[in-house]
Amino acid sequence: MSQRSRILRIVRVDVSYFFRTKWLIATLIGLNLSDMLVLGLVYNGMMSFNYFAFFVPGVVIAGMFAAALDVGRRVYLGLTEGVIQYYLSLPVSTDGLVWAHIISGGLGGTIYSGILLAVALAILPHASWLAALAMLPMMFMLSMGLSGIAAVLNLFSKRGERYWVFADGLQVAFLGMSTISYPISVIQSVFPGFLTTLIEYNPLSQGVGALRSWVFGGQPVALGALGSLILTSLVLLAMGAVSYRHVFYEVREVGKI
Amino acid sequence: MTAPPRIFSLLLFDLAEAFDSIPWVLYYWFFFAFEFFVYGRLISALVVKPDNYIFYYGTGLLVLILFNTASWVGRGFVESAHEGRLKYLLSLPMARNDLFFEQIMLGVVVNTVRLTPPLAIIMWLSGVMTPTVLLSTLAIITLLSIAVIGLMVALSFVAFRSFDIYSAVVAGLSALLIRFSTMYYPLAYMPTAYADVSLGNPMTYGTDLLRRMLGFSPSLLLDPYLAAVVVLALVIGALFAGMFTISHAVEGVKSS
Repeated sequence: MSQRSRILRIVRVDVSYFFRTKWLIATLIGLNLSDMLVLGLVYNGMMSFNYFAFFVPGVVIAGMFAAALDVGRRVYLGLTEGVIQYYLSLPVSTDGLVWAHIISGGLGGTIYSGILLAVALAILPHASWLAALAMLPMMFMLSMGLSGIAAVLNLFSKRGERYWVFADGLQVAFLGMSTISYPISVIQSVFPGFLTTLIEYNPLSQGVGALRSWVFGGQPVALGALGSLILTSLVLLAMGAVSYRHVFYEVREVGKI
Repeated sequence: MTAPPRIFSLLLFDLAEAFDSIPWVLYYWFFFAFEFFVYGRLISALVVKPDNYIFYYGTGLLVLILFNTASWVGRGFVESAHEGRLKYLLSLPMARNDLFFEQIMLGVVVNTVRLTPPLAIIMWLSGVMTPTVLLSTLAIITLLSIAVIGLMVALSFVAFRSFDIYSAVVAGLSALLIRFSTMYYPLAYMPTAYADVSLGNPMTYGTDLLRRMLGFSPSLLLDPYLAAVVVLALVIGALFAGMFTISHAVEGVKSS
């Protein structure tokens, strides 16, 4: 069996976890839908612009982030329960294992947000299914990058409950410091310039910006924005790969991190 | 010197465990600060009505943290069954109801520690920092904590069938109780169908009662006497449901 097919088998096992907890996944999707159809609709009545149409794409990207981070949670549990140690005893290279987890993070995020995107396409007017299909590879790329964040978390949370605190804190900070819930013009009017720039370059802001303009706004794909989205995803992905590689190397050589 | 009653020994043990993790204690304060000063500030810049939405939102955050802590107590109880600790607890010479009240006290103490600093910030910023207001809001927080913890422990019997289904039920119930309530938005601004559902949700009454104590405009809130009656009824109902579960449903079970 080649390295590639071993990696694909690990990816399959990783992604299959996603579907084994059907009740939980259905409820989590229900939670995201309630964000769209309750929170978005009620806030819409309290604001002077169409907040519902603005917020729904944001929920799609927030769902992708949560699903991509969930793979990192399973890697953390795998480290504490000895599953990673078992994987490392198999004839698969450390780099192979790194890519298996990053690819499964990408797939998990894409599948989960793909379901939310389908709902968004059904409830928002003037949405382009064609543009949404073209967006899927971008979403996969972004999701792999976001799952890299989970790898960095694994690197810094060596003991106890630190991983859960870091994961929750990082999720709150990444979502809050993005344009998922509010337009950049409001952020510019409240926060100083350097924070606004940081928020603009947040990969979640770039992902939701692409969805709003290309899929739901009917605008042509801007090459600059596309390049920026790919670049930030690649940076996160590289950070994730280096972090996972370090963690797995430590486990292989020292037996613990 | 006599030894403390067993319920307090167990409570001290559980509290030491709960506060052993400093990052978790700090996390909830960070969560409140970030959500209030970043998310709340930006969202309230978008909200046209009601005025001063940031304080309305901040009070909702307090109830959200309260709800999360209560869910954490319920989840801890279920996990103690999963890990075999519940069997040990049930073998102790302690009444089942004492065990239930120990869980309630654990949640109330943790909630008070997590919520007092954010509550003080909201009171200070909105200019209602008086001992009377502080004590009355803490009393409502305590009542709501008891009610939600009782409810979560009562739900634990679901986990003895399937942990996945329990997680799904708790997540679904949380979504209903949080979204269809006045935690984030007043009843007056909800579509009629949502407002009708929210009126059947006891968290709506608890949250509005808390806001009433903090001096929010009565035009945005439910009648305080009705709210107080609903909160008390919820507390009594949740206590009975929790006691029934502990006395009748947890014997000899394990979480799957």
